[in-house]
Amino acid sequence: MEKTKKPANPALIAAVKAVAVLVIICLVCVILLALCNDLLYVSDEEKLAHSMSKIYPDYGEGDKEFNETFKLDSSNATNSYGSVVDVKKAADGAYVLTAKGGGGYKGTVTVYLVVKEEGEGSSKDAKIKAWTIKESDGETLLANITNTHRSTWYVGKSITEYTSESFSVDNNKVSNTTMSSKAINNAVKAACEYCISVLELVTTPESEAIKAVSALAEGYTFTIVTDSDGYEAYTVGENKLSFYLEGTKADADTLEAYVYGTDENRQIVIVKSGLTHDELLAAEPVAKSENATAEVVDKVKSLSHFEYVIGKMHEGFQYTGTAELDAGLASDSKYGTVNKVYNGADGAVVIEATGNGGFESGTVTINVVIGTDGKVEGWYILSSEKQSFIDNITSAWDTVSSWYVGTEASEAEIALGDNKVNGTTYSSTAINHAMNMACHYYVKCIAAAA
Amino acid sequence: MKLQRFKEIALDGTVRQNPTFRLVLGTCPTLALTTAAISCLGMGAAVTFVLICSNIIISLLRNIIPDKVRIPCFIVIIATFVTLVRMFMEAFLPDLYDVLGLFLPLIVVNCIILGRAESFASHNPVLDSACDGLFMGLGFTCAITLMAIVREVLGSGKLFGITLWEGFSIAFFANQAGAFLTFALFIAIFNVCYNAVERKLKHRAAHKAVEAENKAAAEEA
Repeated sequence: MEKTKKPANPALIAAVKAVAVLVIICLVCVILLALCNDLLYVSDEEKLAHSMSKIYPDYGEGDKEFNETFKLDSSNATNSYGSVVDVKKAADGAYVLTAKGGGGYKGTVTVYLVVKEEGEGSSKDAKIKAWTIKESDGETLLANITNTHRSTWYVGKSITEYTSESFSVDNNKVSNTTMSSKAINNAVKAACEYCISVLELVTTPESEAIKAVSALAEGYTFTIVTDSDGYEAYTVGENKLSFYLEGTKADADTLEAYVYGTDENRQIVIVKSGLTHDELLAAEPVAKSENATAEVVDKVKSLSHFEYVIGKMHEGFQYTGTAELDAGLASDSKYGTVNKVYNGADGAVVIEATGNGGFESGTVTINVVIGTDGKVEGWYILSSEKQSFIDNITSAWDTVSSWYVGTEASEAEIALGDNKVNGTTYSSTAINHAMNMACHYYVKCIAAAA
Repeated sequence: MKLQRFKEIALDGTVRQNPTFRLVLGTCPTLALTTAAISCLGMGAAVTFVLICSNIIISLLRNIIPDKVRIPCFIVIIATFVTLVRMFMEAFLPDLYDVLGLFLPLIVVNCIILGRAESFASHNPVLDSACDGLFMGLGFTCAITLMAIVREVLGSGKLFGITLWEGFSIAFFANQAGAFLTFALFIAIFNVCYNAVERKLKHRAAHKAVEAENKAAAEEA
């Protein structure tokens, strides 16, 4: 019997041919583009040279010795605004920083910033001479930022203006290019921070304090914690506290640094953060400056930062110890959990509670101060699981800190009401849940036991 | 390619089927970039280059590309040339590259290019397609440059970046509403003039035809 050959399916053949043609065309195009990319590639040096020829002709050929030997340390090049990716020096001694700023449309914006030192000694300053955009992550409308903006934004100003709290990244914006404008501001702030903290182009009391403290605690990154009332409680005779800093290091305990006085008379005491009153009294400081007097050390040790912060909400708060938690009442699926209870000598308590319902189903942890009359006397945020828009709440702290103050802990359910910040509803809800959790625990465990 | 055919393609691209004022294609760059005439020349040159190259390749491959995958193939080819233009501009014309920004990669989805690929290049020989690409590109360039001249002069008192009247500017023409109004006015004026000329030419042709008929009739008699 003869075998009959099956006829080929024309539809299948047509489909295979179509796919094959498409694939071949794609391959040819890819190869062509790969070849052209090699031919037409523009290096970072070429981009820099072109930009400098337009905005800062004094760059010339650059400082060859510095540019060839300088190695960027990535560990100190990143801060909360962005990162510095490269530093070059111009022929006239100006620094050209390449900095990336976050918060842009679809990613970051990278800028060149030219900074030049002026003055000497205590009047040393550094001014921004020029800037321009190098590139952006996503396709944007950066063409809206014109030469007019390049000549008016930042130019001629001291870099300290952009590292101060008063400069908002929402300044200097162009209509229809708001997000990219914000990213540019962030990049400039990141570059200016780098100029002060790493290149040390400007000497300020703050930068000198950070430098002196950092020298005593190797590997730590210190930032100054600002507080408007000046930490009067820490005054020792004529010596007032100049700065209070927090220091962090990967896989290590957080430190607190107390700086008295300035310049050569500076006295520094560094202790571990988060210690109880008793632990602090018993422990020796992690580090101190050679001239730190016994009175200053004793004052720091006897007044833990925790007591100081709580003392602003409940006067004279003295921490006596942590209470044992009632496991059954310390958790509520509706609100969250209670993590710790700190007892005060006069019966006031501080309850650390974590509230659910935050941004992306995350949590927010707060400390709640409840006075002897069973009313909320104050609270503050410890942490947020998902770094969301919680900065909107902390930046409005003057208003936000009065939320829930005076509320009876015995209230059946503390409503969210107006205790929310526009655009930060989830985090506000999590804070409300944590507050409810803390108050319900207080009523059921602490007040009931008393 | 015959001269008559060449003339037809040239007239179609620049006047009869002007992509901006007659076909109203490619309105995104038309509205967004016509605040400065110099950037329109750059955009027009880029579009013309992509049109010519993509029309040539698509015309060459018109009998090979199956119908089922013609659009994806066209887009791949167009995107390749747009990427080449981007690379070239970034290397040799960085100022223009910065100005065009987002609108350079948007050339890939410019209706003029895909439209001409689909309606002309995929059905016509290579030389005809190349000429169509050239004149369509020229038509687009002239149209957007004309619009930009008006908007730039009225909106900022400048022409090709050169200040004509210091401090003169009518902000309306520099923003989006002014763009739409200018575009609409140009379309209206262009079409009125085109229709008037076409009527005149038709009338003349009809008159010539009648004269020729009369002459033929007279000769017969």
